[in-house]
Amino acid sequence: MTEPRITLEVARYSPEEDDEPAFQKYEIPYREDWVVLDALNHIKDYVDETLTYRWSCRMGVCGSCGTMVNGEPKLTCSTFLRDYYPGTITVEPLANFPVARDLVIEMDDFMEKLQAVKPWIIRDEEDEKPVSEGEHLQTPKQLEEFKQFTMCINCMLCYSACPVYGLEESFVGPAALALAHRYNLDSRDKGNDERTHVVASSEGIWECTFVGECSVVCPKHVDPAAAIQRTKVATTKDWFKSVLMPWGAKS
Amino acid sequence: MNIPSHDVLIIGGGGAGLRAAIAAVEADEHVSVGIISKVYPMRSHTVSAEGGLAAVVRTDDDSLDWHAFDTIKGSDFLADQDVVETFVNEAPGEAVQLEHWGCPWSRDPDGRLSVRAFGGMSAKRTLFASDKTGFHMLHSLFQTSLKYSRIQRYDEWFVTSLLMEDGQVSGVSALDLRTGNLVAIPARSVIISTGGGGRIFPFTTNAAIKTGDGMAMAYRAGCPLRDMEFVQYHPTGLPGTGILMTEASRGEGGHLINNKGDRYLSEYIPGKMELGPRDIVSRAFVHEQRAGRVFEGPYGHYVHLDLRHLGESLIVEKLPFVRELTRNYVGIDPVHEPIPVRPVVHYMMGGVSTDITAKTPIDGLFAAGETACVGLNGANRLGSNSLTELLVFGARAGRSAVEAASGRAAPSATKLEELARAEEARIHDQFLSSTADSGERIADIRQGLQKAMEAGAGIYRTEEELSAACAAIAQLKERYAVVSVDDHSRVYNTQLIAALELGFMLDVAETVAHAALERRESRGSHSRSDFENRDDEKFLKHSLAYRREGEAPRIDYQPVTITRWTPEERTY
Amino acid sequence: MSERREPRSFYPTISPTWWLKKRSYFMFMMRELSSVFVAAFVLLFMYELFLLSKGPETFNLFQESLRRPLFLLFYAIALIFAIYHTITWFGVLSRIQVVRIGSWTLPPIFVTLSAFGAWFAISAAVAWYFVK
Repeated sequence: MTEPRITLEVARYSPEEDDEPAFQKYEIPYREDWVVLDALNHIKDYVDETLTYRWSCRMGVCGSCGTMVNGEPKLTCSTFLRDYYPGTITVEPLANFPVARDLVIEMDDFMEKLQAVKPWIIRDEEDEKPVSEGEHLQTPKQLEEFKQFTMCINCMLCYSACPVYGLEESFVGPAALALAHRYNLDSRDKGNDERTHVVASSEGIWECTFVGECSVVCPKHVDPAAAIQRTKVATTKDWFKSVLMPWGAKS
Repeated sequence: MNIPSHDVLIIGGGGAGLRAAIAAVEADEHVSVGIISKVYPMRSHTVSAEGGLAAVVRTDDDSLDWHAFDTIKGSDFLADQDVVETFVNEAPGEAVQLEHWGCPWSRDPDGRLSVRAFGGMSAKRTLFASDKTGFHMLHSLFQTSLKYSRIQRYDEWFVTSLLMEDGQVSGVSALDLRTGNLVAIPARSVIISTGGGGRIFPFTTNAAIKTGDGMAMAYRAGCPLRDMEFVQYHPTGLPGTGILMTEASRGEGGHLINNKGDRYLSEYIPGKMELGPRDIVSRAFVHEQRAGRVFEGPYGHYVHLDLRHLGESLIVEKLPFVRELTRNYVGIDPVHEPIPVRPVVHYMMGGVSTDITAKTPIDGLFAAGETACVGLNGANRLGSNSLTELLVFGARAGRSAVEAASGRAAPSATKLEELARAEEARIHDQFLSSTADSGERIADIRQGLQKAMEAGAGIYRTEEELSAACAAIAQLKERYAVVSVDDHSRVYNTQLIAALELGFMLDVAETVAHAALERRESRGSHSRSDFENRDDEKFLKHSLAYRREGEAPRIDYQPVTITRWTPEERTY
Repeated sequence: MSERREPRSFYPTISPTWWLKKRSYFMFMMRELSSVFVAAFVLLFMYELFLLSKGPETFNLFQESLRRPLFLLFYAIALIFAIYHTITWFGVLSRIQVVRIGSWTLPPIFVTLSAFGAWFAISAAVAWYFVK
């Protein structure tokens, strides 16, 4: 009885030699408990040492290994060969990003957008509680409000799934907007106004047409689509309030 | 890219590195700080930590002295007690500071920070953010660091060596993965926070990036590595992958069961049971294994971690990540079935020798986090002290480095360029020229190393096995000297990086094996079958491993600082 | 293999038929298209109201003019799109609007069920009025 095998077709791109990516076929041993990452590691260790890809934790928490597997954005460390066996598995770099080499994409745009939404606790100077006075009180209920949106591992699968980001590179994007929402909902934060010019801009939430694919592919169930729509509602409410009751203090 | 000269340059962007960077810019509004990381900071291994962060935030039923004593006893009395006292003092402030920076700590109904029980702790003092504490800490620190424009980041730059001038650190040589350019980055002080080197073993909770880079670099620059023989096995990792099943699952009440259905720890530490310190719980597994009371599986022996009696709602609330991991990687729901677990390598107590201010014996060089051996953890670390260590000593390192930088002149850029060119030539000659090519694969040497370490420097060690490991490592180093890299691309040459990392791993491994060979006693996580007892008379001291070109490292010793707690017998 | 050159990244382009490549993208485009039909219904309804104000004869004449197979076909297609529009809209409503009563958060399923419930109730009431 021969050992079972499986074929992977992996996109290769050499930035010094190629004009565009091309597929390379690898036929390797198949193991029932292997994930796509195990297959890539096997190829790199024993078949083709030049194969290049990102990975680290191999347990779905660091966000390094985002890749297109059979056309869907996935984490290679959490995608099992057995769900595709015996068919051929196509492995390509994450869609909607420039390809630096093989399966490695350029993430500069994403990193800039992450920073642009000011993802840190913003409070007034006078409000600053000294560390010696202990923690800000926050009830489990208050924590529950934004907890879901803290789970983003920055894997960028949502950017790959979003056709708007694919078509319009200036779109701030699902993960960054969900992170802004996380801070806006945090009872300790008062930075809503400071984030608004990036978040509620035409490249921010208003670029989103609620395709919803971002939430479908998110491996951590952050539901960035919900975060964006709720921000739209909140921003609109705030706008009405400021127009109809300009004398009132903004919440 | 215009490379400026930094006042403080931090290698490694995990919990300790980020904390150091923030501390540095807050200490002085004019300093320029750089963080170099071979991965984007959110990918650092801090992200995988699950259980929690220990700090005495509840003073009504806890005390700093208890935390100190728990830590010192947990270390099997090898910890430097002044370091421990400083640590427990500063821990609560750091925990609260992180809360101010937005960390979503789990809360009690009244809104205060929640605490839970943890291994070796005499009171509930482990703060947690569900069971993804490291993830939340890292992201909170990283996102907070984005506030400071004076922190310049070099993401996906691989540091290949420390650059030295007159025995002092003057910067680093680093490879920009994106372009393949090797560049000298000048700095007045350098902080190493690159984590440990668990990947020298085959089964580990550690991510791929834990290859001991900073430890090896410091070692090569003449800095001693301290207490390297002490390698912690975490009692509950998944067989095969080594994925971590947090100690919190035991903290919340989980049981360890052998193949007879018994909670076997009653034979070894009836006083603490599953909440015993990690070295003792891991050794218990080996005893059960020798007695044939463990299960057999495709990845070797294992026991059961049973969470069923905790109930679904507790698991969903307090251990959701554990449930997610077991479902994905084992196909088991811990609500209904026990989890297969076994001890796997998790943490290195040893590392770059530093004093209480995070300063190493080399001028201008500092270290913090798992990479450092500041004297906190001694022969065995208590769970949840490490995340606290990142903050306390990361902050100290940042402040110390700023102070040191103000007293030092800027390094000479031309001298550094020369050194960088030499480093580039060395790397090229060793890996990319066609002359030395044994045709051997990097993966084969790496696996040879991992096998040798598992066989010779595992949970139980003997003179023979350790000597064999030392000899094996020496041979592997010879094989490594003639290995070459097929990939000649300049862009994202991950094979070259793997080759450089393998070199670091070999250096780290040699210090572990030799230090373990010379320590002829059992203490904490270092267990000698041929020297079963702790020998305070001969070995109440830290080991120091110094590099010697072409030879085995020189092992020297340094006394332990004892302040208030006299070493006693360690029973639980 | 061409000569080595200055390395450059590859910038993928999106084809104009991107929305035909995946079922979920296609259904999204159909959802967006359905707004056109909903708008058409609204315009038709407004026009009929306007004609009603002109008297029953004008109104009835217009109604007669609509009794053509082509219009009925258009109407059927438009109705399917309008229903699809409503279903998808109600389906996502709970994710857009979190409903709170005091300190209690309404479980999302209630938001969805109330939307559908109200739709059926009102439709049933209207239908009953006309059948009576």
